[in-house]
Amino acid sequence: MKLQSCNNCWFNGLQYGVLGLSVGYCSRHRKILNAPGETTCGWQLRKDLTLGRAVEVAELHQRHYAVEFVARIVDGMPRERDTSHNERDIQLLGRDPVAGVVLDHGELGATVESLAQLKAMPGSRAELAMLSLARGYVSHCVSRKGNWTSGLHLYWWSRQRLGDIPEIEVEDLHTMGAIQLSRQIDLTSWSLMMFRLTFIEDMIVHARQQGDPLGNISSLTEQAALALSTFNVHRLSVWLKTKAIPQLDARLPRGRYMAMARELQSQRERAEAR
Amino acid sequence: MTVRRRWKASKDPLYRGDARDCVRVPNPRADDSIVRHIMYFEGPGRETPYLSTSETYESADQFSDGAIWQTLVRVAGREGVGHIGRAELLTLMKGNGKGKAKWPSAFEVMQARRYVEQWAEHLLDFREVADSAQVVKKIFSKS
Repeated sequence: MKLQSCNNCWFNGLQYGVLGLSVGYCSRHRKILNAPGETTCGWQLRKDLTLGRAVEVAELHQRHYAVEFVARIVDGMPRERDTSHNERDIQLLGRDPVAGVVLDHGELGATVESLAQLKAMPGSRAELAMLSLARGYVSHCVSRKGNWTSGLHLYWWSRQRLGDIPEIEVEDLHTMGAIQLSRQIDLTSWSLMMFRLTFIEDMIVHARQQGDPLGNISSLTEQAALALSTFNVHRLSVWLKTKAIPQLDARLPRGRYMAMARELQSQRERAEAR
Repeated sequence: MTVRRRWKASKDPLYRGDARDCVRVPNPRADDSIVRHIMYFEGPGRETPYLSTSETYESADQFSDGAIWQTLVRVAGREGVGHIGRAELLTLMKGNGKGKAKWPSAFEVMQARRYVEQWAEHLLDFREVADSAQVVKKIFSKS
């Protein structure tokens, strides 16, 4: 995976490293990505980085690539065969249940709805898609002067499964790479668990910027990396359950979450009544 | 997938995916942080004193822009090119890193470490090389 490629971008919910389908889908350009490891654009935001670093790197990236089209990394030029929005191709891709929801994301105002659908679907690919699109959704809301609580439910869903070890099947991988299958699955599970934590950390950063107590937690990705020196997913799971979740729950316990959710619901109903 | 035997520096090649016509020329005087190099923060055109290579053809192929090149550690060594092997990289990249892998973010060190393992990465170190363009031409051949 070239790190600056569509494969590693928030707007492609269908892939991350070796996990995912053999094609991607850009929810920004609304196109199927036929060569996601070879293409990029000026909107790219890297999945493997925390929020602040991803934005910093994206600013440098945008100096080299146009935002208007998906281009080859090697020369910044578009190739017709690299993308598709052909109806037949979209239909074929939509036969995959996860891709079907990803294709609908952002269409006709369906953003949170599609993320809720992904949350309810089993499997690591559905979770990858939810987290990936959630990072884009919340950042977009906050950048438009929205409240960090636009991602409150997404935060809570991710917090609930934070310590779970994802079940990654062989068919979830689009390529094997050069290491043994069992090790590849361990590293991929580790990546997905850290991707959950990265999204949680995005939410902490947004909360901090808006003065919410959740923002008082220091970087969890840093804490995890300092506490764990290997890619052992069982140790990571234990660390998340015993060290990360208690910090989160001290600032945003279930009772506070429920109260905030009720308030958001009331606000929505008042807005709809107007 | 085939199960490979253990890679040996004395006889096994290192592969690099790069352009069809040539291998990118490193800058011996560029910032020599290993994490910065592996994480590719500055993107295209960034200056680096290292060239990333892999034990496996398959990994190199992911980074190819038209060709896979190869060299041997001893051939590179004869031209003053250092070798920082996968095992050494993995040892250096724990916590906030050690030596040239020291980095302010432990999370980024860990991500870089994961990539080293997934890509079976080795670095060729050009910091002591006077004419890196000539040396690159000399040590690499198309695979």
